[in-house]
Amino acid sequence: MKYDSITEIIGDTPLLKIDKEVTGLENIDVYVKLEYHSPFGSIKDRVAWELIREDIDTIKENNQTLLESSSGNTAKAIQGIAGANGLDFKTITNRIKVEEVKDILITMGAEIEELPGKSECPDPNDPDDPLTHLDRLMAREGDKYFRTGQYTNEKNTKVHREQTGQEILDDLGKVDYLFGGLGTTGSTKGVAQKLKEENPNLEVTGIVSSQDDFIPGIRTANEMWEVGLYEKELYSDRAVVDSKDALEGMLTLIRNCGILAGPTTGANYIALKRKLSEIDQELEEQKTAVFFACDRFEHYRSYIKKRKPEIFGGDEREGTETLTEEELEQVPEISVEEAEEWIEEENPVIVDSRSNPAYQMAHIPDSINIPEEKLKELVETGKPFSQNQKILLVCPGGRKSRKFAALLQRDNFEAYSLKEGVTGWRNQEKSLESN
Amino acid sequence: MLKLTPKTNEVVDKLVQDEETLKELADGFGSPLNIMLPENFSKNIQAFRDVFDEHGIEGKIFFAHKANKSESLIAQGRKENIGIDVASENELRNALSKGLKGEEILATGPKNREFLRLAVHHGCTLHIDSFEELKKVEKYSEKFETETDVLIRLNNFVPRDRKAIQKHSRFGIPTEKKEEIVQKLDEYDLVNFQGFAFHLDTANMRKKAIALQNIFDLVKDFHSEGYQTQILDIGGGMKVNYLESGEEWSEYLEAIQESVAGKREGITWNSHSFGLRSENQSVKGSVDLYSYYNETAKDDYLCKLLSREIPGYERTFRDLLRDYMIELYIEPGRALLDLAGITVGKVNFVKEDACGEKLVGLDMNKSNINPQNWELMVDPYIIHRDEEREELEDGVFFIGNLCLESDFIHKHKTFLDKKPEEGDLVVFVNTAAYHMDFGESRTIQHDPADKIAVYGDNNWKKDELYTGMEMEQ
Repeated sequence: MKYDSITEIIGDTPLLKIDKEVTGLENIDVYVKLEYHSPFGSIKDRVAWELIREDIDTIKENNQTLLESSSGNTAKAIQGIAGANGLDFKTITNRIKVEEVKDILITMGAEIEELPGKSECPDPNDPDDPLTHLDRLMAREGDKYFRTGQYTNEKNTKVHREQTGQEILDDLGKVDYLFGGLGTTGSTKGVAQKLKEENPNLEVTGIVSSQDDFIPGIRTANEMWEVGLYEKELYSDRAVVDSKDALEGMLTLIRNCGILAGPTTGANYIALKRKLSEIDQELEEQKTAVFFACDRFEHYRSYIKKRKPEIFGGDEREGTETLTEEELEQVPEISVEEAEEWIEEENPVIVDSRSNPAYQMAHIPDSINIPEEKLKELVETGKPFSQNQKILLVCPGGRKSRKFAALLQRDNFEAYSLKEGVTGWRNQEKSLESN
Repeated sequence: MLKLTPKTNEVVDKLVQDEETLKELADGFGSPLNIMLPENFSKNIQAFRDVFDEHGIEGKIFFAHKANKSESLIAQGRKENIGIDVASENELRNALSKGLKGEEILATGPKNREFLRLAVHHGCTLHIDSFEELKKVEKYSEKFETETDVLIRLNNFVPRDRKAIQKHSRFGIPTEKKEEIVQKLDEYDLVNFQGFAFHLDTANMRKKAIALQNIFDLVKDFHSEGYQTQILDIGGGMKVNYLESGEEWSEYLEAIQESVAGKREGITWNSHSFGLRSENQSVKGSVDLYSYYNETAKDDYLCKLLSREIPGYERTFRDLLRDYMIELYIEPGRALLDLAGITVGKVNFVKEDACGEKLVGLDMNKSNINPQNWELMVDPYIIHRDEEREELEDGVFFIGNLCLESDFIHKHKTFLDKKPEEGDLVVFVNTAAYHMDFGESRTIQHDPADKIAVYGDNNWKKDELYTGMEMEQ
């Protein structure tokens, strides 16, 4: 297929049926709209282009900077379009909580401005929300910017009604259940409007994240009213999903269906599974359900790692977890009090495992610096020291050095640990060097 | 029915369930009555100490005195060997009179000359808020022939890798003035640089991590100028969780938002909007209510902050403190006072307004519980004098005893099972932090509330007579 412009590739995404083995639903066919099959990788591509499309020539003429409050996918899509059209883009947000997403935006060339965190001392005059900051910026230098306004612009809903919804309708006809995460609410709302034309009894479930939790692209119930497009009446019910369950759902889709979608999609799927499992057995006729795969999982790796460290084989890999109490007890410890004399006599290699800047600022005379991470690697993989020399390990307080000494002992090194660590050394006013 | 069920613990439950004692105390001392629970104060202290131990860091706790004027808590803190953070001359005097030594006292906040002089004279550690203040400290140190330990309070922390809209702080010295700070420290002989202090007006951990990144950068810069950072004071702001259920909190907030959006009625008095406003069917602005439900609070919050990786250092906050051999100071107010105090008010009357809304008039006013209109969004317990009370369908508003239209204890509706009547007790749990005497006034000659300390098997003493040794006997 040949295209002349990147924006031509937006839309017309595949609709994939999920295997009944996976859903466990006998009477309901479940389809997922693979919105990540879009050039910038998410359901937001459609919105971003729709918000700009009609005005693109004027924006270019006036050389305006595109302005939006977006925490991720919309920003990514707008930046993609801006880049392809020689325009600049700026996003003002307080919601970029995933490091990779920020890195991706920076790599793409977006300008990000972050807002302050929520005040601890409540102040009614604090214009703390991003949209108010945008309003003020527009009031001050409005002619420099073109504000896309995904939270209030009806085009957000319109594009999903006329395109996304229409595509689903063309493929499936009647749909009985629709599941969508609530962010700007544009996609769920637009698609629901279209599908209701065919089936007025469509049941729409809006998915929000539980209070105090965070799922990228989905708001908590309390954040919904900040969104101008939100219409509570549209939803037959609202499902609250927490990030743990969302990731479970995501893993099911990734591992059992080859659908490499992100946490939001996982949340949609879990909400669907919960609701439909309850009614499946009572159904007398075949029904159809649809949910969205909003984006891909790759740029949420740190998010996944933080919340599900176990799938990466635990959060700490030191090699030290294999140590037994006995091994630890056998480590010879040198107390700070006797250390100077002992060093004088034995002439050990003194290894300080703190980070390098800290070592540079103050360390025990003649010690060398092998930061913990490096030391871990050396101890695990090979023989870092010569066998016939004593080694004195030093860490901040004597806990870690003891573990490393135990590991080295296991390999027959003559390793010792400085009992009270470099902190104890300093507290007893022994001399320290700095670089 | 909207509920905001308070989170309690066994110490609170034991007292709240002991209705006879509460009635006796309320009748004996009058309304409102503040009841301090020093045992819970100790539990909170221990929880923070456990975090220090668990993370293998050196740390000191300084109780932020401003959060409550109670004397029993100062006595309890002394028994537990914690320090105190004082923010005025009188707070400092109070701490000294309770036997705290200068070295156990941090003098913070805006300072007049009298406060500065007394703090320097007693060898307190001072937070330095401005260059002018540093100069005054030098002068007083000279006068008293002493040296004074100082922590430089910083503001304006900037992330390395992105732009951020700064919320300006009235406290401290901007980080970019580091050369000037060093220059002043070189110039003054009698101030001893001990380290840095900051307190962000947010519990947002990402913002705190950025502040810490800036500070560790300064630790290196100051080292190369010959100044060693021994202490890092991260202030307070570690949150408290007041409520049993996050869902209840979320539902109540949504009810307020729906009410502001015009889709629901009768949740707040005269459609009070708590700082929100409606624009094009969406709700804008930020709600001026403390977040009363917090999943991560107090010692858990500190634990999480210590485990947080500091950007640009690839190490956790804890590891950096240990690596650089820096002692951590914390100044919790709210977090140390969690469940450490209860306020009991007596019902004066119950009436209906023109629309039939029920107003429960208490013999206390908003200054006894809501400083600066920070409304306490936690349901009180009601102790009825008589079990035969009318059932209630709709909620009630608690109003105060001032002749002011705005004197509300709660501008949000509270949904009770039974209608309170004159003489019944309304028991607000968890008021010790700020919701007690922070903004208390003597307007229209109402007396300030009495304070007592309750301990052990619901034994009690006047607050100022409690020594902290009661449980030992």
